[in-house]
Amino acid sequence: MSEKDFLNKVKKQLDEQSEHLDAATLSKLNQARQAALAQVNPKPSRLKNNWLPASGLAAAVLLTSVFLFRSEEITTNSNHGMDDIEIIASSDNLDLYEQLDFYMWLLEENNSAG
Amino acid sequence: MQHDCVIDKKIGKDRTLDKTHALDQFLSQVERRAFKIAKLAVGNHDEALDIVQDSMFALVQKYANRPSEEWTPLFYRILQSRIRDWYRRNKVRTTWMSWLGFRKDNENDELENALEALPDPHGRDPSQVAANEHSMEDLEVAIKILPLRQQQAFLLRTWEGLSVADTAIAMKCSQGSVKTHHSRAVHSLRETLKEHWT
Repeated sequence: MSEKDFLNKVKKQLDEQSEHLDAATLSKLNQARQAALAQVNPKPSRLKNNWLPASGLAAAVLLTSVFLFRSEEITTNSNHGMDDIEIIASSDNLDLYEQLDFYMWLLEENNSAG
Repeated sequence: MQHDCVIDKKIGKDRTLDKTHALDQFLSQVERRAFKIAKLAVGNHDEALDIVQDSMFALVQKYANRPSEEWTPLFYRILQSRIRDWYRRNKVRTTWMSWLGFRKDNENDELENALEALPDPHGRDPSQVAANEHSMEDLEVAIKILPLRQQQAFLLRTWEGLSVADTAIAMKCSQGSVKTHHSRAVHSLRETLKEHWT
């Protein structure tokens, strides 16, 4: 038998062996292939699951920010209210209103002199 | 702008599907031979399946984006690497087992005998099956007793039909070494099988 014939016979026998693999082995090979291919095209549902904790965290951060902002705003507004009361209640301002006639007369005198 | 974005996404999805399809076809073509090569090398059905599965994962994970012409030598390079890893682990395990005084028992003999008694699932003539099986067994034994490098060179060149250059890539050696290993393997197999294959 020539070397070429010998190698052809070996190849034919090996081909025959691999073609007659049992169903269980073929099934396992198929499962292995599908599992490997799943890496190329990951399922969208899995992606969604991956994003779920991140979106939950983002929502929590947003709610906390809104709450803090609003409470600061309320605090700031209430401070403004206190400032207004202080201004209205201050005695200097009341003096200004009491002497308003004097200041009006001073303005008229300046205008006539000018 | 939004339309362009939608088109880009569609093209990307199509490319992924094309790539998946191409990889699926490639792996379907090589998986049986890869399993047989692994089984001839390690002599264990489940270990051979694990090796093929690992090789598939590694190819898809690392080389899916490489041109498809490169997949064959890359896949067999991974496969041969996994087989060598198995040999190393097995050698350490065998050394420890023999050092500790354990020995392998033939617990699977009974199951193998029972399976051999089952009728042929492809409906072939029993005498033909017996002759073929003997011939195949002889071939398997002859390949199994080859040194690993000769076995790899022989199976990749003769069976898988890889070129010398691609076999050298798969075996991580020079083309000259591939030729030497292959030539020695052919010589050794012809010597072993000459009495049965005349």
